[in-house]
Amino acid sequence: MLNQLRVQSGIFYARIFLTGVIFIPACVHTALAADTPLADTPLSGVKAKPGLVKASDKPTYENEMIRLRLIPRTTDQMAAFFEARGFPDVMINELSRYCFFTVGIKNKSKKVFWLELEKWQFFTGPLFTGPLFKGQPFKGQPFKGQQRIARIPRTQWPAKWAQLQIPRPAQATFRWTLLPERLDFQPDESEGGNIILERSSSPLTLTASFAVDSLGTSRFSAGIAPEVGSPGARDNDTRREIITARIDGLRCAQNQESQ
Amino acid sequence: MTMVLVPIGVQAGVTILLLMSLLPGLVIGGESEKAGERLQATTILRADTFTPPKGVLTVKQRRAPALILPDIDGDPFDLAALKGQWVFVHFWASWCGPCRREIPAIQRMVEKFPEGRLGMAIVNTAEDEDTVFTFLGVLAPDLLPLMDHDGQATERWKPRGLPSTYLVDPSGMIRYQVLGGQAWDEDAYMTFLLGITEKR
Repeated sequence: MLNQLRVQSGIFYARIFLTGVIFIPACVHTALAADTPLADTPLSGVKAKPGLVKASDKPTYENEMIRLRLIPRTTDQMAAFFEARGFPDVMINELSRYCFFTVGIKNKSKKVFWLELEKWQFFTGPLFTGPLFKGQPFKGQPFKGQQRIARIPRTQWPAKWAQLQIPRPAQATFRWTLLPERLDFQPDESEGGNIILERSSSPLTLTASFAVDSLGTSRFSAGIAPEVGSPGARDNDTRREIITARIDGLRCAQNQESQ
Repeated sequence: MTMVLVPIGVQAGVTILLLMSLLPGLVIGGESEKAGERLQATTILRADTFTPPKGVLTVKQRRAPALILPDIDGDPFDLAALKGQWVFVHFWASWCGPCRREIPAIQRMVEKFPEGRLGMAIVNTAEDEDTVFTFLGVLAPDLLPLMDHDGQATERWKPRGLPSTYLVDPSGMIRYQVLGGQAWDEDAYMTFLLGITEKR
């Protein structure tokens, strides 16, 4: 028992050590990479200290190329939106089981990058990452006891709606409120939409990878792009740069009375 | 029955004369058709000479999907019927914030545009007449929306999101795709639209 305690406390102190040495520099890196607004602009009235990515009601990742912002939505907010669109109760009840974030993404650069939602991962609590991961695709793993929170992709909804006999207009509107699973962000483009997670009461960490198109905007002027919105030749392009964005301290929003 | 024998040389001459008398008509008809094609070709070629303003992407040409929908009054609309002119195809919904900001700019652009020069297809995605009527009544009362009641026509066009706009050339090809909402009544966009639709 004592040995077990020693082992556990060893792990505990090792975590503190690693958090101090590697996790905080990773945060510094994130904050340094961000444009001034994230580090200096007050969010929710509290000025962020350099080196810390604070939890706020609009958690944001920002660097010179991309701004990624997530706004947590309460069940009541989503229900009000869907009710106003005439969604059936059975659909609203089903959706109220989940955790909603409205995501806004802006391409601040003159390059093209790709949103690929299958490369987004949500975990409970902070992740073990470090400066060694800079510029690499995300390979961080959760600590023991941390959980990966599932995102419900758009492909899973049609079967659900068919089972519940949801009218097609409501299905179509619902689809259009979702963030696209894959999208090439053109220079200066802003797009947004909802992502839906399994509900969790724990704070969450998001890691999101974006592939920067090495061909840049020339794909359009050269007529190479087979179609806007299609990954095209990008999947075979090994020269692509990867941006890994990370946001800590996300929370599924709770209705006022349940807080 | 009286037979009139005409020397072969005379017959040939008459035939040539008859053919010549038909020729001007044939030539004029041919010229007219060719002129029409040339006009269309010129209009399409002219599109390449204008630099699109911010947010308007030149895309690899592809045929525009079918767009056959009723308008809000129940009258039928078919995009194919507008072949021969540029068409502004726009998808929107009242719940989308950028659509709310863009629709009044589209109305102002239409007001400024020479009549009959640009076809308009303003498609509402998956909403009902009451919602659309209330929304446009306030923001853009002169636009005649098309009703994609179940959202399936919008799906066929595969827009990047809502709002979404395409510019379809006179031969029915998508030539430009527009990112998000734009200020269509501003000079940069008006100049571009007037330029590509100008017929010389």
